Amino acid sequence: MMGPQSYIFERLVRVVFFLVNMVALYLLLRGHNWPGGGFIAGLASASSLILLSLALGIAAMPRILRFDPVRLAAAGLLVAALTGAAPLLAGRPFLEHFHTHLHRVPLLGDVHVGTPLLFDLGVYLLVVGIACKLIFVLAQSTQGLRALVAEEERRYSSPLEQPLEETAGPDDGKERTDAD
Amino acid sequence: MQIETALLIGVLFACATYLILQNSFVKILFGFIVLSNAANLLLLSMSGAPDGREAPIAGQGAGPMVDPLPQALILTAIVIGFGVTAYLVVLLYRLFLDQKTTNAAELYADQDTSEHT
Amino acid sequence: MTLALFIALGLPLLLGPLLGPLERVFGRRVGWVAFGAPVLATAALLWLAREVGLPGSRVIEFPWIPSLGINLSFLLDGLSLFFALVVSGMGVLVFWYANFYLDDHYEHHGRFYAYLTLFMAAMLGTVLANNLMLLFVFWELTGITSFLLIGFLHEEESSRVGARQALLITGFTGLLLLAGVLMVRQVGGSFDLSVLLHEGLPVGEHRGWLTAAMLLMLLGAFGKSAQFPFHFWLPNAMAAPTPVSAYLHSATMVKLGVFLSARLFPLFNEQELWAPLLSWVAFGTMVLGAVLALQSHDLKAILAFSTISQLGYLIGYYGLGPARGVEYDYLHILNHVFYKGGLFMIAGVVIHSTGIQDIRQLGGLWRRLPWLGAACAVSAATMAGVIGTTGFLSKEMMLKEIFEAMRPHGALGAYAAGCVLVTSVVKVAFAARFFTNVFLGPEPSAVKEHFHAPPLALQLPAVLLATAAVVFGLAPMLLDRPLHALSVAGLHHPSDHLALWHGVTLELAVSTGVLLAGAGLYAWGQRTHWRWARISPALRFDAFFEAGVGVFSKFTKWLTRALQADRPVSYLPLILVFTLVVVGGWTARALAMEWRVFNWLATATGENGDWLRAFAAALISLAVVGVVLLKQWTTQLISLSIAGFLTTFYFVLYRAPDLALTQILVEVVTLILVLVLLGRFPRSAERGEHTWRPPPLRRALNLSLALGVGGLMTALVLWINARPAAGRIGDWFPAHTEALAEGTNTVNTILVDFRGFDTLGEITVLLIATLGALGLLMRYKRTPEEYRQGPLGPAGMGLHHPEEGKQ
Repeated sequence: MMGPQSYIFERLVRVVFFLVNMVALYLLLRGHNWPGGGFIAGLASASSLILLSLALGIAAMPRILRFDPVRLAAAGLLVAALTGAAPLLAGRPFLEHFHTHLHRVPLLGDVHVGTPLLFDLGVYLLVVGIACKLIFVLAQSTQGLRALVAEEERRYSSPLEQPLEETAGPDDGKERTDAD
Repeated sequence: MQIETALLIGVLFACATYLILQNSFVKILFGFIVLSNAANLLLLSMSGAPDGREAPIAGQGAGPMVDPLPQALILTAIVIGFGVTAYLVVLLYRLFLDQKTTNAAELYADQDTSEHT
Repeated sequence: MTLALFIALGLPLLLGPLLGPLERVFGRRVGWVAFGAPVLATAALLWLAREVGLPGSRVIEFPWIPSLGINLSFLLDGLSLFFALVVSGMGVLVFWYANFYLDDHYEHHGRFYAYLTLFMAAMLGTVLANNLMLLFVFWELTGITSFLLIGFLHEEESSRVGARQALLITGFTGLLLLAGVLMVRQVGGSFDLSVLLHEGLPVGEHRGWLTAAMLLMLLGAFGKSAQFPFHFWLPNAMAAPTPVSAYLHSATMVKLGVFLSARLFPLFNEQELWAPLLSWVAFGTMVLGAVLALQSHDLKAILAFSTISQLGYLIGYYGLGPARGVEYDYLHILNHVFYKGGLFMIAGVVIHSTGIQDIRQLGGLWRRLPWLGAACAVSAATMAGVIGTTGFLSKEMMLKEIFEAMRPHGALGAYAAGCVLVTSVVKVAFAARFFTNVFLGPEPSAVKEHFHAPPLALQLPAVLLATAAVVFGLAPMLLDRPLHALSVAGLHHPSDHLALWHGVTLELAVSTGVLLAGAGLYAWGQRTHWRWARISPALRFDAFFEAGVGVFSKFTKWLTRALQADRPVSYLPLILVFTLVVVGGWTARALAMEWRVFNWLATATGENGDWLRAFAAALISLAVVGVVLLKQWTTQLISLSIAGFLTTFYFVLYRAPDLALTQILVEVVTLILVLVLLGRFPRSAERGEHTWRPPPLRRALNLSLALGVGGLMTALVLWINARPAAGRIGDWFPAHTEALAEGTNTVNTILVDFRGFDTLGEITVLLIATLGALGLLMRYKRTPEEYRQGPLGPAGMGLHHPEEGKQ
């Protein structure tokens, strides 16, 4: 999906991207006490990334992100699961949460932190990851499946891979054919 | 009483059902989105009428709060609904790439009774 | 005793699975490792037989599922030990034989011996089981292992067909046995044979149940023992390697039906159906099997049909047994083991050394294999019942009992006597044919070409069995003591001493007549070169069965196609109608019971309705109806989005700020996603949508279904809300959220703390859905050409942009 090639739009989007992510961070941090939380913050960040991809072009996203969003999602699930599993080490029930109050932190004053925030962080990462990946992958697939697969294979497939079978595949009309 | 919510839910379910019964896969997708909205509202109606109640943020006003449990359920339902919608979207795309159609009647033209006008 | 039982039963069970891997170490010689199993089992069983204190019995029990009355319970008495010794003793011979038979032409020796060892364990388990459920489990295990053994040469079509038939028949009849077992449990109150045999089954009001149970269990026995109408699987099971045929299909597994009949004899022989059912079916099968054996030309088929015949003889024998008990059943069984096991092994050696199975192409092997020829002569004579062999004794006793039974049983007795006589004559004929046409006469050139001498060790088991038949036939008193010790109260009637010569009696005269008549039939057959011998198509039950299986698979395919359609349009209306009728009907009934429904509707509307909510609801409804009515995809999508954003507002009205935030963001992302999708579709696709219009009737159905569902949901919401719940779990969360979760946003604390596990599951589902969607995009088969071009595809691929190119 190519965005409008406009300098103003691109600059504007960069600013908006920054702002939206600040808001998302705020929503994530305050989620335990005020409306917000991992899901909402994740969706907000995801929309900011999508907006960025509209402005800069989908092809630029891998360069900007430097990692596959689906890995972000997997990392999120891992964080959430580990947060849940950590109390098991101490012989506590799965998913028990712990809280602590930090007094007189510079700039912030008294802060309340707890493991729910970690869990929410996992949720946040996962939501960002899947929303971005789905949109990106669909947007990238304008050139038909083969280009997409080629792209993904470059990233994941092993050079040792052998062809599965030597049978004729589907006909060559995979690419989008527009009758118009 | 939530007569307006009940009617709204009825309309949403009716429209969703009608859309899902169509031949067009795009309409089925829309129907599915409407259906998940309808289901969310149905859950929400279970929390009772919100008149005179507060949002479920503890420690604010002294007034009674709305039931937070349906809200938590809906929150996850919305996100899951998004995941499933995304899956359907990709499914639809793949279907189109393979079959060159977005219409069940055309896909199963050999066993369909629809008139081809 | 527990140790001995473990050696007999547990060791083979444990050893079986190990034999496959052991093949890597020992190669072909893995068979000798397996050989240890029957040897040890025989020794252990002999020791057990001494310790039990026969003719008493002993029960050894380990808990398994005590709450259901199912235990690993074993009954050691004469009957079970007799059968167990037959199984393990025959096992010694067969394992020995298999070690020489399965040469390097065969592969997967480890697997073969694993199946065979497991089969032996299953057999021992079946006959030793005290608990009927345990018996059933082992019973089916014998069926499964026999399936694996028959299908061992699974690259051949006949093996697969035979294995499938055997599994279907024995598996199905095994299930009938299970049903019978459950009925016996209902009536008798126990699964334990020891209890049932001791206390007997109650009579009176449970008569019908008992008859049904007996019928079902006997059907199980008939299936396993290949009695009519299940007889056809046994000849087809001959596709197995010959050691398997000799073991499973003559000496052991098919005798399970005989065993079950013997076990059930004390329980059911007072039933009025017992004698007629067993006699009519079994003696009929006996004649049928004998005639089919006479008409067959394949060595193993002749033996298979004669086995069916002999099994009919053994099972029918229990049917005619007087209430005081039977006398010589062990003798008949042993006799059969001696000659049929021997003949199968002889057939195996012949096939092994010549590669020919058709009796018409064989002959003159006596000069090459004199020992085997002698063994075959003795075994055939035993089958025919010539004096000096156990076959003679068996036939004498059989005739004696049949003649005795003729009087009390009337027509049934006459039928049985007739069947036995006819069968004996036919048996003499094909026994003579089997020996003479294989070993005597001129040697055909095919034999000359293919013959290679088998090792003497391969012939040894057959010779041993033939020797046993002669020794016990000449000195029957040797059998007296062990058979007497093994007799079981309730089943057996203390017998006279066995003797070779009973004087000139009616039986002797009849026996001689049978031999002469059989010789005549044989002579006629030889003279006509058995040209008339052909199994008539009407008797090819296996063909009927296969046709039936084919029809069944067609039927299931049709049913699946009919019930499981690919498109929602074809099955959703049915589901919706069902929902409307059931849920709607139930709701309507509940509402009708509350007469105040109108009254209540009035209060519902009369209450101070929230006009803001009503306004929002009207807008959402309008937008959603727009989705239905609008024609263009894009406008529909816009309408849908408007509805979604308005829902956000609705959430706000319901005091749900978290929901509102989530909804608005999800709505944005969904909108982009669907827009991207619609952008992928060409215009032609959308125009194509409108060319397909469902017929008016279908549209009316859709509309009425939609309205019905909508109405139902509205009614449900109103009805549920009209009756406020007594207590809400939801009120508990806000009250405790600060104390327990240290957070004030209750929705969030529910998500991450109270119900955190649900959330964890939910995000997992999200990830799985995403991976599934990616898989949908990624997975397609590349052509070999594409593969050679590498992952990047042909030059220019991926740079080409259809939209740009078009513009």
